[in-house]
Amino acid sequence: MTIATAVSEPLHIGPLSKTFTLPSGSVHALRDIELDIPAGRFISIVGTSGCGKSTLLRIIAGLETQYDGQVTLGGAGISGPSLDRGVIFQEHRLLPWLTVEANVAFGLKNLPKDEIRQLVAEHLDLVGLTSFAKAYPHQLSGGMAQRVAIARALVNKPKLLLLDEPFGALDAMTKIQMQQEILRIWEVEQTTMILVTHDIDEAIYLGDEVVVMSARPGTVKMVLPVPLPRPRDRTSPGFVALRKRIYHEFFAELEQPFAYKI
Amino acid sequence: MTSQAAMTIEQPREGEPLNPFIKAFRMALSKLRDGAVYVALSVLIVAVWQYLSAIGFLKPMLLPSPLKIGDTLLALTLSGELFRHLGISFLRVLEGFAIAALVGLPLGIAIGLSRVVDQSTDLLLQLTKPIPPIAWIPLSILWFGIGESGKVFIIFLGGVFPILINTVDGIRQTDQRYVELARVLEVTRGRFILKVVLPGALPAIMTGIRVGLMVSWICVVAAELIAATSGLGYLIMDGRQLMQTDQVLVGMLTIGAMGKLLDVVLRAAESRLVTWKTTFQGK
Amino acid sequence: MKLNRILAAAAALFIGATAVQADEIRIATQPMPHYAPLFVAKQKKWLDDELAKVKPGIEVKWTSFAAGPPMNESFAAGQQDIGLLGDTPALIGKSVGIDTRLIGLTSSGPTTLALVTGAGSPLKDPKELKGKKVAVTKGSYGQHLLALVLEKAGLTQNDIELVNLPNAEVVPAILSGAIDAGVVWEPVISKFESQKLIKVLADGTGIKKGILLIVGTSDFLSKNPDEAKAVLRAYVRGAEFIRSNPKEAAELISGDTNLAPDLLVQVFGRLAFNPVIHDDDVADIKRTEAYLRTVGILKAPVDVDSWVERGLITEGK
Repeated sequence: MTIATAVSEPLHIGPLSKTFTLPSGSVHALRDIELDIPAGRFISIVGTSGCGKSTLLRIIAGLETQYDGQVTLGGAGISGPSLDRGVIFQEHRLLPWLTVEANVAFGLKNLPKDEIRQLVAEHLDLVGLTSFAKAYPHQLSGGMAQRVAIARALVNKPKLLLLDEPFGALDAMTKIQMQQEILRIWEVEQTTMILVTHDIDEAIYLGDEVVVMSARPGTVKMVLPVPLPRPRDRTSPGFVALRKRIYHEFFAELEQPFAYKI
Repeated sequence: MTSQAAMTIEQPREGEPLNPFIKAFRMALSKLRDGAVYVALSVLIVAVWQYLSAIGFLKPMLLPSPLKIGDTLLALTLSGELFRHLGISFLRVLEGFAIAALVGLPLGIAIGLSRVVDQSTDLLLQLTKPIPPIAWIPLSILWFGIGESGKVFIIFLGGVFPILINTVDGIRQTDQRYVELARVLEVTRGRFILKVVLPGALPAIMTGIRVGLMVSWICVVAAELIAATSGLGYLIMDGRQLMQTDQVLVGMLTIGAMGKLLDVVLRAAESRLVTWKTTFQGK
Repeated sequence: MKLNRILAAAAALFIGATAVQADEIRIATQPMPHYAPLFVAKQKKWLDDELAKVKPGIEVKWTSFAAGPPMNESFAAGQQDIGLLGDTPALIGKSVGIDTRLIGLTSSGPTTLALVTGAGSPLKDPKELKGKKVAVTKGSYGQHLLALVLEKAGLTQNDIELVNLPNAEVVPAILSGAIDAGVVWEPVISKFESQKLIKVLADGTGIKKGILLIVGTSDFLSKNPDEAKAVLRAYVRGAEFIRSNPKEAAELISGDTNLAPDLLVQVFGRLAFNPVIHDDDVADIKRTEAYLRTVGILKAPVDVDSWVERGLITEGK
C-alpha cells in the first residue's frame, strides 16, 4: 500500500511569547519559546496542566493568532488554520450526522468523486476501519472514533500533524493500542507529528525528542532526544532512565522524603 | 463467568410445562398492563363524571354527561360536519404555518449567522414578540376582512416566533469545537453553514417547528371564535350561542385530539431526522 | 371572601344556583332602545319606588350584556332573576333547561326588524336575493325574519349564501361590499336610514311582530311574585312617560342605551311599549318556536302556553 504523502517541511518557532488578557488580569501563558522541528520527525511535548502546551499547539495550528514572536513552516509564516497543518483534538469531533466515510472526506475539496472515494478508502484502511465506512460516530467506541479523526486529518495530506492530548479521553488499554497505531501510521505517512501530552510515558514512547515544558509561564525547560529503537520497550533501562529524568523535572521535591532519617 | 447459554433459557417451574400459549398470554397481559396505565386516569375521570351526571348532581346545561357528548360526537361525525370543520381548521393551520416556516426559518438562519441582520431586526422583533397573536385580530379584520386571509395571518403570527427564536438559538449554539474543526479543515463558509451549522441546529429547529405548530393550532381556534362561519372554533362559538354545551365540548375534545396527533406526528418525524440525538426517556 | 366566592361558584356549577342575597333583585339588560321603559323607570327612581312598596330596603343589581347568549349563560349560572332579551335566545335558554317563565313583553315593532341593503343597491325585492350574500346573526330573532321573508319570496336558505355576523357589523359589511344584504334590528335601521346609507327591502310588517321578552326565573317568581309585579308596574310607568314625553325620555336614558337622544326619539316612533301579553303575541312566539325546532336550533320543544305567565300584569295596571 503506497499512499502519496505530502512533503513535510521544517517548523521553526521563536522567539514566541503569548499573553492572555482576562478581566481578572493578564496571564502569561508562554515565554520565549524557541524550537526547531525538522521535517518528518515525531516530537512529544510534555508538561503539567496549564503550562501552555496546548496554547503552543494552537498557535502552530493557527487557531490563536495573537502572539509575540514568529512561527514559520518551511520558511512561510503562519496566519491562520490550514489543511497543511492537520489537528487531532482531544475529542474526536466527528460530525454526528455524517457517516464515517463522509467525516473523513469532510476536508477534501475540488476533487472528482472517484478520487475522493479512493482516498477515503485508503485512509480508512490505514487506520483499520474499512468495515465501518458507513457507520455513524455514535456507533463507534472512543478509540475507533479517534482513529477516524486521524484518517480525516491525514487524508488532506498535511505537512504537519498536531495532536493535542489525543488519547487523554481513552481508557488505559485503548490508549496504549492507539499509541502503537499512531506510530504505525507515522511510519507509513512520514508526516511531521507534534504531540502534546501530560503523560510522560506516552511522550517517551512516541517521540524522537521530548520537549519538557515548565509550569506557567511556559518555557522550554529542556529537549531530550530519545535514542531508543522502535518498537520501544517501556521496561527497558533506557526507557526507565529517561522516565526518571523527566519525572525529576516535575516532582523533584518528593524524591527524597526520608533523606533526613537515619 | 456463568454460562451465558444457561441464563437465556427460561426455566419452567416445577410441574408446569413451558407452553407457548402461556408465553403469548403473558406477553399480551404485560402489553395490556402498559396500555392500561396509559389510559387509566382518563377512564376513571369519565366514569366518575358519568355517575355524577346520572344521579343528577351535574346539571346538563352546565356540563353534559359523557354519554350525551359521545352522542353528539357521533351525530356530528356521521353527518360529516365534524370532519368538515376539522378539515377547514386544519387547512388554515397548514397555510399559516407553512408561511410561518417559510419566513421564520430563513430569517432565523440569517439572524443567527449575520450580526448585521441580528442587530437591525432585533428591536422590531423584540417589540412584536410579546404581543399575543389574538390581540392582532381587530387589525386583521380591518386589513383582511372576515375571510380566510385574516385567519391565516393570525396563525402565521402565532407560528413564526417560536420557529424564529428556536432557529436562532440552534444556530447560535453551534458547538464551538465544530467551528474550530471547520477552520482547521479550511471548510468554505457555504459548506460550513450547510454541513456543520444547520445539521447541528436541527434539533432546536425541530423543537421550534413543533412548538410553532402547537401555537398555530391554538391561534386558529382563537381566530375562529371571533369571526368565522366554519372550523372547530366556530363550532364551539356556535354551540355557545345556541346554549349547546355538548357541542362546545365536542369541539374542545376534537381540538385537543388533533393537537395531540400533530405532536405525535412531529415527534416521529423528528426522531427520523435527528437520528444521532440520544435523549433522556424519564425512566 | 375570595374563598367564599370560589366555593359558591363550585356549588353553582353543580346545583345551579348561587346564594342570593335576600334584599337584592338581579336584573339583566342589554343597551337597546326596546328596553327604554325600564331604563326610564330606573332613572326616574320609579323602579325603586315600586319595589320599596313591597319590600323596603331592597336593592337592584343591574348587569348589562352585549347580546342574548351571554345573558343566557349568566342565567344558567344562576346569577340573574329577571332578564330582557329577544324571543330566540329566550326560547333557546328555556329549551336547554334554564327554568324561566315569560312574564311580559318589552316592546313590539314590526318595523324594528328588517332586511336591508345598501341605498345604492340594485336590489329592489327579496326575490332578487337568489345567489346573493346575506348576513344574519345566527341564534337571534333576525334569523326567523329572514326565513319568513325568503319564504314569502319563494326562496329557501339554500338559495342564498348565508353569512353569520353580529348586528353591529352587518351594515359596515354591506357598505364595504363584502355582502349584499342583511337582517338588522334597531337602532341600526334608523341610524343608517337617516344617513341615507341603507334602504329596507322587507321588515316584519304582517309577518313578525318583532317582540322582545321579559323573563324571570321560576325560583325567583315563586319566592318573590310581588317584586316581579313591582318591576312590571314600573315598566308601565316608564312606557307611559315615553309616550307623553319622548324627547325628555330620550335625554334621560341616552347613557343606558349608548345612543344619541335624536336617534332614540326616532326609534321610539316605531315601538309600542306594552308589557301585557296578548293572544296574538303568544301565537307569534309559538310560530318562532316551531321555526327554531325545524332548523334544529331548539333541540327540545318549549311548551309556550305553560311557559307564559300572564297573571303578573293585566291591562289597566
